[in-house]
Amino acid sequence: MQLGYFLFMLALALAVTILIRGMSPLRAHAAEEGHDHEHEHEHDHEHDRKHKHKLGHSHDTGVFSIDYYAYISAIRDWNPMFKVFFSLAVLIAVIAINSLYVSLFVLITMGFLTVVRGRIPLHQYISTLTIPIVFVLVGSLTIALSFARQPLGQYNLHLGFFYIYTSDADLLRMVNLMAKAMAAVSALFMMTLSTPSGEIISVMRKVHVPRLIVELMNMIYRYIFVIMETNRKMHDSAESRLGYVDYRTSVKSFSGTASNLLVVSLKKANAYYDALISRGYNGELLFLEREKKMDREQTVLGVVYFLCIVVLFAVQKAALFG
Amino acid sequence: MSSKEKKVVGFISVLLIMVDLFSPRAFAMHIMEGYLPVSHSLFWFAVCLPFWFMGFKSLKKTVAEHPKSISIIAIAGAFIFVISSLKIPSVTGSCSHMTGTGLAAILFGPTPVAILGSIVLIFQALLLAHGGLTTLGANTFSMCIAGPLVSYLIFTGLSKAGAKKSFSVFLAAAVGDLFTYCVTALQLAVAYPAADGGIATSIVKFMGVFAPTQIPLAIIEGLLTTAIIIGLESYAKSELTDIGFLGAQVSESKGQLKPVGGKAVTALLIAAALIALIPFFALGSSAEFGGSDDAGSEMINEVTGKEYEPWFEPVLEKAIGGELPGEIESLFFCLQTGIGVGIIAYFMGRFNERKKLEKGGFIKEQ
Repeated sequence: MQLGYFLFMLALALAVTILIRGMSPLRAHAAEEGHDHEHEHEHDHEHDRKHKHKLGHSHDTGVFSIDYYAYISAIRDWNPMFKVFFSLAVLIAVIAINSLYVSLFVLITMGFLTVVRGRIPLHQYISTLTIPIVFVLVGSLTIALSFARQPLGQYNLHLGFFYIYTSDADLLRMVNLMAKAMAAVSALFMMTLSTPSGEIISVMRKVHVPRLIVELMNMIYRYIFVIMETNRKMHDSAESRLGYVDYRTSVKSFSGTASNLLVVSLKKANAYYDALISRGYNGELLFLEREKKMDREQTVLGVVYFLCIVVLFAVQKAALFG
Repeated sequence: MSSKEKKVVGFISVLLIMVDLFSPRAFAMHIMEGYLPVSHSLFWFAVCLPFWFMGFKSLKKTVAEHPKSISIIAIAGAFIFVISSLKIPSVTGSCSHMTGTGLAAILFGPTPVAILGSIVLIFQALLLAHGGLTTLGANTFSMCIAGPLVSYLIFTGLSKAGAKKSFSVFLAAAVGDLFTYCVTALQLAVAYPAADGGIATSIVKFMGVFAPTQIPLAIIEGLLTTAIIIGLESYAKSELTDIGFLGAQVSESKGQLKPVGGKAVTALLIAAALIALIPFFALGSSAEFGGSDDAGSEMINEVTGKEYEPWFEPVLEKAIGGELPGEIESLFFCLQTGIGVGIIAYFMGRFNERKKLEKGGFIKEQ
């Protein structure tokens, strides 16, 4: 165990060094645009301060904060294909290997990548991580705890008619699962908090997802913002006329807004199609995008990262059996 | 607003308050990223494949016939997304959402929902951090296939039987929601059977833990869906007919979303039920995942009465000093299966296409 712990820290240090090392070409670039970023960051901090006490699923900061941070991420300039595949590969590796060491390693390094290299505010990152926390807690407790009429297991709690019990093995299983799930989520966030959806869709096009699906995704992504905006306006105008003054009224306004939203959306769909046709749409939306070259250094580092994972896995095996 | 509608809304809001008082913070029905083992994720993806295929085919046909419909389909998808991201009004300040699946199934029919719902799920994972990519298959099955199918069947069945529309909408949305939650519990239970009692115990545990949040939510969903449909009916009848609501005579010339016929839906539902139930019964409580590998040596044991001594060790086991972990083993298994299926499907497609070409003239698509 001692050796395992040592190697874990070593691998972590190695990975962090690698990630910092890879930053150097980016620094120069960031300096050029520094002015712009600075401005945006100031705004963010102000934004954060207002909501500092709130963690998790808050709607006040806007539903689309993830989309917003994807656009201002400092690692947005990385090749999207690389980011998508790297994050998917890490995701699958974490789930397939299912070892506590690897999960912790991925959780820490992916968080590092997003927060330090991507310069996503730590508070925002943590509150995004806590969105699925309800699921993690409820789901994992269900797995760890069992109910019975007689006292069973290593720990039990008597509650009148029945006992809640658990054992070390079950608890370990729960911790393992929680770490695994959070690591997987952090790998996914590395991608979503640095790659705007448009780029992800373009990666899907490049790997030959059926054209109709890509087309639909492109349109849905854009329509979401249009409908969201329409909904906000409807909500505001209802609110200004005391539409949400008490519970009964707000139920009425909510359902009324929702049904009206569909009608307005359908009308807009027709108008948008006409607009598309008038610009020569023939079944494929093609967007100009900035070419982001595949960085050879990053590829090598990605491979090294996987080697780290494999080494950690081997270390844990050794620690268990040796 | 007529006095009847006023009554309905008043009744709905009173009921909602009652339900809301007992409902704690919402538990999203999305299985989160990383929560299912690799083999289970792949299994649920495989289960979704036929439904995706059917949905894709029907969408493709609709779009080929009426190019304009792509815009309407896309806006329907965006609408489902937005509805599912809105916070339901609440007195206790709990933060719950509709799933929108019942509404979508009633409005658009179950076939397009399989595809649209999956796209919505992808965006929910990317933009809202609900659900995930590896669990997309499992979530699609519970929220975009099983739930909508049940909603749709209940709705069409009750409408045909002449039930009141508001009642059938409510029941369709609420039961669809409950069914979704049962399927999710089943998926989790199969992935994490209890140490004693196996899957059966585990499913009871999961359903029990999530019931306090899910049952009120299902009722809320039903009530709100009813209110939305009532609103739509009162001032958007023509638009509703356009998107094929109520299985209304869809004007072919307009070419909007078409709900599939009753037979296909029944077949799909039976298939869905079978797929969901087979592992449950086939595995039973003493489920064990095993192959025929050990059967041989056991048989030799029985016949000769002696322990069979393997004369060769797998090279890989020697190299890494021990067996591969089960998860990775099953990953390889699934990979192997996937490649096999790919090859078979490729040739089937090829032969199918060849037959088509030999039969009639070649009509180039698009």
